[in-house]
Amino acid sequence: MIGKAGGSLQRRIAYGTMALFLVFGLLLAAVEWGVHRQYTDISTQLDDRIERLNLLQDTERAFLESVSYLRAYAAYGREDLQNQATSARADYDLLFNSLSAAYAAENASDIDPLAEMNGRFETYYVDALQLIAAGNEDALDALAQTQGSALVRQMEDEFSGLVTQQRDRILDLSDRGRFLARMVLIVPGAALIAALVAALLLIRYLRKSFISPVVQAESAVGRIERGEIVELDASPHRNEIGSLFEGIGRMAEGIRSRQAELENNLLHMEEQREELEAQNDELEAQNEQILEQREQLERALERLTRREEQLEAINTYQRALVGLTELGDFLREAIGQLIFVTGRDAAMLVMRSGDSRRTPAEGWRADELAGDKPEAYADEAFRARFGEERYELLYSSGYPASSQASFVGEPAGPALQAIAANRPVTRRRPVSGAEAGVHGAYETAVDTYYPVYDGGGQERPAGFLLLTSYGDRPSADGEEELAAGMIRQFIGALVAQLTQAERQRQSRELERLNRDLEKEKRNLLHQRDSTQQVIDSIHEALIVCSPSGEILMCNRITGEMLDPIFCSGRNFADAMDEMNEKFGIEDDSGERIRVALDSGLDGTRARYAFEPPGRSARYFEVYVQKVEDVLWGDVRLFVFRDRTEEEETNRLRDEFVSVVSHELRTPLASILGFAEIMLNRTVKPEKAQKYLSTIHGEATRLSGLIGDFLDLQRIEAGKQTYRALPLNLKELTAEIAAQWDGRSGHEVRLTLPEEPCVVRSDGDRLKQVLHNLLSNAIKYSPGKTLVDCEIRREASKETEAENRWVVEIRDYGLGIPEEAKPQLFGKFYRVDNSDRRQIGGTGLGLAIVKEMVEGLGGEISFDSTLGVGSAFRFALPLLELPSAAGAVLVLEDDDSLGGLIEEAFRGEAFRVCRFSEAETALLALEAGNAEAAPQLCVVDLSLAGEQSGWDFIRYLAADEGLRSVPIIVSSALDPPAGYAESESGKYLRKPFTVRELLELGRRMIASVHAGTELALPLPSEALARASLETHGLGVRQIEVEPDFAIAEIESEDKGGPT
Amino acid sequence: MGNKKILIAEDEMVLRFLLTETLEDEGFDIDEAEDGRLAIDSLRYGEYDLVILDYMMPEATGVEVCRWLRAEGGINAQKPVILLTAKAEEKDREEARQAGVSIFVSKPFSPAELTEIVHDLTGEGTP
Repeated sequence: MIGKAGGSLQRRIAYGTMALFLVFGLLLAAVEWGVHRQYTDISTQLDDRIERLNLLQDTERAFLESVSYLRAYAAYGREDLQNQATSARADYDLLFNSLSAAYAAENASDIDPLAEMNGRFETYYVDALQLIAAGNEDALDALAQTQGSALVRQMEDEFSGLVTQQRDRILDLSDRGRFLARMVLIVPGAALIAALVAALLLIRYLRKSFISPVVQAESAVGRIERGEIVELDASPHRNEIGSLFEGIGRMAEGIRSRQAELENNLLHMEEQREELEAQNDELEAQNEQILEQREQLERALERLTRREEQLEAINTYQRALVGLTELGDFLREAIGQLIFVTGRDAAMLVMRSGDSRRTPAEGWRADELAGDKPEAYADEAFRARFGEERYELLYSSGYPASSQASFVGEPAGPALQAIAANRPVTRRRPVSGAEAGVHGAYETAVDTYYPVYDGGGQERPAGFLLLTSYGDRPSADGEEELAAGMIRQFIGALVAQLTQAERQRQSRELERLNRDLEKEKRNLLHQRDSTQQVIDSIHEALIVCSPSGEILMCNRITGEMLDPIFCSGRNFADAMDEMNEKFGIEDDSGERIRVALDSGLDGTRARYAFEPPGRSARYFEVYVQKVEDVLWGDVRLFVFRDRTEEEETNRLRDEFVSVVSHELRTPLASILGFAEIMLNRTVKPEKAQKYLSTIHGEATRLSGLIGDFLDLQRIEAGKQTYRALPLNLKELTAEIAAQWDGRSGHEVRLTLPEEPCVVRSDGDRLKQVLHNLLSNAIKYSPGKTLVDCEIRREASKETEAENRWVVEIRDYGLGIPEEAKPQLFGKFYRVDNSDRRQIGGTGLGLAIVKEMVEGLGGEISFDSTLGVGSAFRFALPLLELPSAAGAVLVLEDDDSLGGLIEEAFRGEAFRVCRFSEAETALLALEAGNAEAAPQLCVVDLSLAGEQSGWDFIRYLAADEGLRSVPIIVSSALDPPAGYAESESGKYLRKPFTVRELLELGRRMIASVHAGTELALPLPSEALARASLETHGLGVRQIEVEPDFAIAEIESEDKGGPT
Repeated sequence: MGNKKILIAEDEMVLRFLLTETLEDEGFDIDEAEDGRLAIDSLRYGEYDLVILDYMMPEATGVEVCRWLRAEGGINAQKPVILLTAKAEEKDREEARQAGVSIFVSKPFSPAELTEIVHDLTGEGTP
């Protein structure tokens, strides 16, 4: 409500003010507009008038001009003047017409007289012109007199009148314009004044209707604040001010009523306060009472706490009496607590010493008391006192160290009394000096001596307990009884403790003994362990058993060789029976053991075969030994010596011998039999022939058999030596195949590769292998005509590269039955059936072949189909040979020297190709063909292979393609047998140095010769010639240099004398 | 008939030939067998006065053949058996004796001695 009313008031004031200023603005604009219109009008008229005036003056000037020209014409009569007059006249006419037109719009009458005169003048002018032209001056004069001059004057006047008239009008208009300009200045001033008046009016209105009531209300509020009673008349205001006044009125009324209420309240509170004060007094009284009670309670609590502490101390004391095992701990704890609970100040325990090692002090001297070892001398003091009995101070607490000695003077009395009388004795005495220093201002001390007992019983006290309290203190009720009880407890506990200590001592002694025993036992165990280890590491089963058969010990091997069933604690014979049963062995070994045990035989030896079915058998030599053992007494030792291996070797040997004997006896029997028949009987010649050929055949067989047998024996004994040299498998195979070609109607068909098949192997052994395989192939393909022999290159199983040569010999004969295949390479194995019975053989061939191939690092295999044929093949790793083409070929078996030479030539940018055997080098040259000749050969004469350097040189000299290769003999030469060498000559024989080799090599490569040029490290022609000729080389010429000789060799054909 | 009949079982052709030559000259009729099985076959179907067995033969050893002969040999069951052996071991001989071998002849043998033994066993006097 109030907000809306206030809003409307604001709006009304705003709208009112805006309306007033709008009215003023409009009024001002209207006045301004009117003045502007007037002014514009006047200025237009003024322009008009000025223009007309100008036109009038121009027309006058033209008129006068025309008149002038006419007069001039008239005066002079010149034609040109006439023309000018005429044109001036035309100008004037034109202007006059304009003037007429200007005046025609208004005031036309003003110009009328002029127009009438002008008409006359026109006529006159024409006449005058004609008269002048005619020269009729007279007429002219006449005319001028009559009409002309007057008319001109009239016209001039008329023109002047018109001009004046025009000027007046212009002035008039100018005055009006000036007035208007003044008006323009006056109007804004008036408007400003009006606005000021309006604002004044507005302010007055506002003050009257709003500000004064607000001020009134404000002062009313102030008055109300001050507590005055205010009545506001709201009636004259019907608007917000009115409601404001009403509100103030209501508020004032409210405040008045509230004030009255407060006054009432104040009165009431005063009453309450009085009441509260009364209550407070009461409470204070109660509080005092409570405080009193609390004090009482606190005192009670204090008593209780003290009691509790006492009890706690007693408790601790009692725990100390039983809880500690060490005597020292016990005394310290128990007596400390005892002093505390009984309220004493000092305590001392003295007992007879059980320790005889301590001797009582003799001649104890006072000056020793001054020593700085209080315990030591306190000890001494007591020894002095109870000297004869060897008493010992076990515990002392609370006495000054020096004062302990001061007891010496007198207290022997009460202590001895207490001990002698066996009851407590109490003495009161003055405090000694040192004691007074320690215990302050006390004068007297009360000593109580209690007899104490050791474990030996209560009949005789073993010492005394001294408790001292300083000063006279009244003892509380019952405290003395309590203290006495505690002391009794202590004495009882001390007895128990001493007894226990004795027991502990004994127990410790026992423990020590036990430890010794344990140690002894451990030593024994160690000994036994090491013995056991020794026994376990023996490779023979050992069983020690009692005479009754109980196993006392056995070693690890027993379990491994026989059965784990044999272990300590079991009966040997029973275990044997059990084992036999377990493996299903039918054996009386258990019984045999029993017999051996019963008979008590010593040193009995026996054989025992452990042959569990389905497991490998073991053979033992068993011997029984009687042993006298400290620990076990009379026992039996069974030793099982494993002789399985021996047995196996024996068995194999026997088998072999029996087989060999069978194999040998068969041909022998035939030979001997037939020979005997022939010796003893008369045999027909054809039969004799048959017998003899049989004998021959069998003898051959026997011989082959013996040869094979010896071969095999050698191989098996590992005595077969292989001399591996590079060789051409192709040549070798072809050679052997040629030997078998055509035998028994069999063609041996060879399929060989182009290149040489170089392998490193033993040629003789390979020949034997090939002989065996070829002979088998032919033997076991009776009636067939072909055996195939092929060499091919193949990859081994492990690698992809074709790195081995395989020789395969295939027949198309009987084939091998499946069941025979596994034993095929076994000794004396021959496939048995009637087809083969006629085929002779030792059954050793393939075994030998296999051993040899494997010995040569090869591999043998076969495949066969019964009735189709068999193929046996063996593979040997192929040997890659470097190409010697264009290289320096170094033939040197000493690796380091060879390396040196190689390095030297390589340093000179030569390619070097090094071999240690002539065979290899020759094979490499062969493989490389003729055009791949080396540049130079450096040859050592003694080489690793069978062929020597000379063989190599001969080959080179004989080969057409290699003949021109220069050769240097790098090694020193021995003179040929029978050559008489001079002493100085010996010194000249020395090998080339590497540098010399290099130089010579370069020189020889550079020189060109048709024949073989050979450099020898011999500066002697005779010796060089002799050497060469000895080795089958013809010399064409020799050139001797200071250190060497270069010989040219005569060319020979290949395969010349060797 | 007249001639005594002998079976020779021997896998080695040469020995068979030697035995045949030795005994045929003495007037015996000879049958040959190349192995143990063939020997048993011959013994099953023919009657012999003497059997000479090689110890080592394929299919069945001489001892096995002898054992069979003694057990199931029929008419030949009680005939004397000579075992030719290259083995001179006592153990083998014992086994062979148990099997019923009458006499052992070890290789190499003398044809004359063998002839003598054969004569003894067949009851023919030496010619």
